[in-house]
Amino acid sequence: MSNKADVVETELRKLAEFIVAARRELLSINPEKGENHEKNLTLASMELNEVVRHTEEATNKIMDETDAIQKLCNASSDKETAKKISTHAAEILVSCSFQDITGQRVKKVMRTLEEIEVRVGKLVKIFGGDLPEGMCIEAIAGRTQRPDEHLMEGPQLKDKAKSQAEVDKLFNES
Amino acid sequence: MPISKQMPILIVDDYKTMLRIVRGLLSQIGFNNVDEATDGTMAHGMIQQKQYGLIISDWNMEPMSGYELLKKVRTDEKTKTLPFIMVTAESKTENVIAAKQAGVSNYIVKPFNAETLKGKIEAVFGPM
Repeated sequence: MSNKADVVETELRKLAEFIVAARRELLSINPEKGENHEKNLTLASMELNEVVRHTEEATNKIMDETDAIQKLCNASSDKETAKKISTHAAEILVSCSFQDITGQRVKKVMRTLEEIEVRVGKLVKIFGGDLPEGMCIEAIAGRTQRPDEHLMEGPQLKDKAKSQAEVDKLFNES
Repeated sequence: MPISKQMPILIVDDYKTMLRIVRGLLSQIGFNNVDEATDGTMAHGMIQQKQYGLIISDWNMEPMSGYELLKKVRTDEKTKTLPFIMVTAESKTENVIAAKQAGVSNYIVKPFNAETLKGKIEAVFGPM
């Protein structure tokens, strides 16, 4: 029995060390942010915050260019063609809402990974081991629970998400 | 409820890209008097300072969510009838019902377009 417990403890310790090593690797990629800036974030937060930041930057660039196209359309003497181009530009702008949806999905994954990271850390402690230096398990424990937490799951998966028509029906009937 | 294209509208979302999109869609519909807030706390402060004709808010924001903002707006005597449209990716039945019970004026699921936004504004105020 104790042999099994030793194996579990060893594996947990390895997992915790892997998390810390990955965190160090990530910090070395972004040295300008510094360890102090990141010390209270879990590995998942650090990595996925970067994904959100990059998609936001790219989306803003797309929107800037779309605005520029629409300004050119407004100034064009060929009104018919300009109107067609402007309609397509407006569609591109609306499509940029993918950034918001993607960001919310990433945050959802982030929270799941944070939970795993923190629970690994707690299990290491329960087995009496020391946390590897640099491991953060306070991030979730310190997070304030929101009164509507249970209603903030983020975007639903495609086969479960309600359409606007379904929401309208529900809204009107409830 | 009469509608004026000049009425001040407050849009609330923690994603700047979404604020930009909603502002653009409102402009397409003809509304250009638009202010922005990036969460419920900021929005609540702005609502105390200025009389808005419509609030268009996301749900999932920190520190104060759109749902908490809605409840604060509805419990304040000065703002309890202020039109409030929720624009969110949260499309579960519980969310729609909770928002309706909290007094939301209408509910839009992301992603959406100008036609949907116009339709919901008309559902609240009547035809433009």
